[in-house]
Amino acid sequence: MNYYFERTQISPLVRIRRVRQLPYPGELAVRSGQHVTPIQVVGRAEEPVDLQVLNLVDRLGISPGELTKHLAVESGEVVERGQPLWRKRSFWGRGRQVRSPIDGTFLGVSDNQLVLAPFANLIEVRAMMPGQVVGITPGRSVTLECDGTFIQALYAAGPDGFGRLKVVTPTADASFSTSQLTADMRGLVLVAGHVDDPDLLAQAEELGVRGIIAGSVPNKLLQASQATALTIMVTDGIGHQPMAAPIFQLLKQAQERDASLFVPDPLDRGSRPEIVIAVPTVGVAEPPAAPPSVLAVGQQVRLMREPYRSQVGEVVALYDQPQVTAIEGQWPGVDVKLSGGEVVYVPCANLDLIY
Amino acid sequence: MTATEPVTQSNDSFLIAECGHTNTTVVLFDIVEGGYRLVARGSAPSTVDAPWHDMAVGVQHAITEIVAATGRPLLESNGTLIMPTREEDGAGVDYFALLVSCADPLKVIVAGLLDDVSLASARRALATIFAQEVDSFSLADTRSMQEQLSAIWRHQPHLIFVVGGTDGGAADRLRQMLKTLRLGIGLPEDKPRPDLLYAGNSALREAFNEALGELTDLHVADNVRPDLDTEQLLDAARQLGELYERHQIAGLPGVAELYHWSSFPVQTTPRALAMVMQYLAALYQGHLLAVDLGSDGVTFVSAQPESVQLAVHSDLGLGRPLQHLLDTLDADAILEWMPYPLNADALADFMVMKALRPGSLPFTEEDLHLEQAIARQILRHGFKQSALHWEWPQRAHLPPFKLLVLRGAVFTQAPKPVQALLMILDALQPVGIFPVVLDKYGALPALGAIAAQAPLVTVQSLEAGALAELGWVVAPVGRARLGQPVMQVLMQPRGGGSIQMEVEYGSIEVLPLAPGQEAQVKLQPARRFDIGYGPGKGRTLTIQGGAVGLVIDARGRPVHLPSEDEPRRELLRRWLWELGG
Repeated sequence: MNYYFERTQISPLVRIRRVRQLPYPGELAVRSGQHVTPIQVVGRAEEPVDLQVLNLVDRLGISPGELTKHLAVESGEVVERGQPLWRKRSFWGRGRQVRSPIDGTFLGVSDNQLVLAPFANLIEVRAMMPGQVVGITPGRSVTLECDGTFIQALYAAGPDGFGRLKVVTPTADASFSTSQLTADMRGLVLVAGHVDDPDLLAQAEELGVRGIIAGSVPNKLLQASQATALTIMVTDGIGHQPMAAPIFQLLKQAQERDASLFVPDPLDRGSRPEIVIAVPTVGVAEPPAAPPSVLAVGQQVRLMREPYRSQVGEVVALYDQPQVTAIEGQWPGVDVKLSGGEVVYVPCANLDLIY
Repeated sequence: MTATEPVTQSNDSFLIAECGHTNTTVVLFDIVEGGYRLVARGSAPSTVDAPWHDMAVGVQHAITEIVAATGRPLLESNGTLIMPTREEDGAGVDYFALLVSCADPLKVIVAGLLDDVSLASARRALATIFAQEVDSFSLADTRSMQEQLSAIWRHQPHLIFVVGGTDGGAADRLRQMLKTLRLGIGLPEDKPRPDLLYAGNSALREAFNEALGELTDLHVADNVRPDLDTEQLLDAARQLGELYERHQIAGLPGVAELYHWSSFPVQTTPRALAMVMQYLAALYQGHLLAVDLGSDGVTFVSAQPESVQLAVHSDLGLGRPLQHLLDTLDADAILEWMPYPLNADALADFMVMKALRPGSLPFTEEDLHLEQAIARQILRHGFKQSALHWEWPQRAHLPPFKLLVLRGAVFTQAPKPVQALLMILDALQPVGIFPVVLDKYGALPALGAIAAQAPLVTVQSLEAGALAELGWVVAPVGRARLGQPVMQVLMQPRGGGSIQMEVEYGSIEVLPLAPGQEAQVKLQPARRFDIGYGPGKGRTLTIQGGAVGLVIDARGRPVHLPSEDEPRRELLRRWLWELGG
């Protein structure tokens, strides 16, 4: 029995659930059952920053007991610059007090010192897709649901993105170049077989392009993407190869519709970038079926290594024993019939199940 | 269930699972013809990550492979392990053990006094587990207390590992550091507080306990540097292993089910490998080296009968680490090993792609050589780091080994065994006379995992051939002009026939000797060449065959590669051709 190492969901119409997670604990802005729009904020959180520590025991010559006894704020309280943190009144009415040097949160007392966290940048998390709130984890995440087209990509860079789809190359293996960028691409998510020129990213960003979905891009373009806030989504490979035919077809069919591009949290190992193209009505699609683990004849697969990289075919024969490959490797594998009719023996480890 | 008491029954069966990032391997040991043998091996893609998030599924898949190969039922219909063995039909096994190498590294802040003394020792102890040093505090650190505090808050480490000071030595600076740590650990945030492992000046243990005992989980280990000339890492390394298990392994999705099955304490693959290597070192009465090149980590084990050194590199590997490896490794140094032209951009593309699809296999000659070139440079870099960690004396050549052990898919899945051998010879450039074995079935750490509780299984399975022999290597030290004679070799296999050969400087030759065969080999180096017995001194020895045979590596040390591209590629192709790779 042989198992798939990789699988990719490419579904024309399916019920989609997406968790929108705050990067740090924060506040949610939606309630269960609520319908949301892509640009709607679903939650807010603050980014941690360098702390401020005040050693009043040494500075004022007071005891640890006095420090806690005369605190003017409570742990977790939001404080403003100049607000008293510690205040001790004297018998004569004139006391001593220490004011907050910053706007922020008073975290509390640690090792007899006051610890303050300055206000950080507020991070807003938007829905990025239309749908209904079907689950809530207080302070951390919401789960949204919609029906639509769902495509798992291979790699993504940049923030989550949203915009109208426009296919900008005639075929799945054609390249899109900087000279083809036009002013009417503002607000769009561009779909191309291949993008090669790192300079294209900065120009596309300047033009107001929301994102780029490409079959393949070179690593140098990924490096360049770090300097932009553009969403880049790669469906098939790093280097130069076409976009897999089923993905290109689906994106062509979805042209002029709104697409949501979800970039995974790098800490969530194994999670994949996702393209969601929602349809207006909810409830028409079925939830996705669990993909099979075991290889079987008739399954649609994408091949992952040269010389067949990105080609899609169908499993036509299984083997009990490993067969010998062109480079004399003897690995478990199957026969795959490619779209051109050629049948090739492919190691199981190089198959990506499409479901 | 966990139990540490030794297994006493001499006919029990053992099933051991090793969960890596890419592959899950399960091996079955049982009695065959009066002794323990590796009976079967099953392998399946790992399922610890999305979309499964359940490592037990991958283990069940791999067990199913064993069931299919042996016809022996091992799983109940609901997927649980049949244990102990059912007397009526022989289904199931008596014991199950779990090895893990798929957990993320432990995030650690190292705090100590001197970078090249206590902190160096702390880093050597950390190298025994999968760890990521996110920050370090030392006397050389010029940051303010506030900045260090923020570092603790921002990194949210699992552990702060404090070392420093000799026993009974000065304690002021550590006391000062204790204040910062107390402040940082005690931050009244609703975040989990880091554990603290103290392995410094023993006179300060009580002070640490008083200051931090109530704030967090405080662990105390023997001082890693009780005096300037002594290093003792054993206790700290042991506790680091336990902390790694608690923080990183115990939370893996699906591990609870496997804990429930497990008859022994769960171990990490590197630690189990170190254990079995020490056993082998006692058996061979000499210095052994094991190399494990995985997808998300590289491990080196240097074992002597009386001691073992372990170095785990979580930042190296042929999987996810490839994505950022060109920040560490020089692209030209990798491409130097390519027998075909390739530019640095194509190399970078390949590495990112392989990081995204770590389980995939090369399908073209170019892909194969590229993967193996990357492996060479990873091993070269990793071994250099390990030798520094272990404070091996800087010498022109490596110390001789009595056995070299290879592990990892890049070796076991090499289309030709000679490719595995050439990779390690190029990467490490060892000298002397030594056999090379391959952990082809992934059984070695498994045998280490149960070595303490079931030593008979380890002993008998190793004797019965759990490791695949690749062959013997003779690598003389010396210099000559290309083409000059380096050594006369006469190999006389038992059972007849003989091969005589003059080996020239700059070449690498192979004399085939099949697995199971034995031969007497007479080696006579030229006057200025040394095979370990002094310049020009020869030796006659008996060797065993292997998948490759006897290899005479007369390329010199270090191996010299021409700086011009085409002559270099031509030479690499010639070496491959000479070895039949």
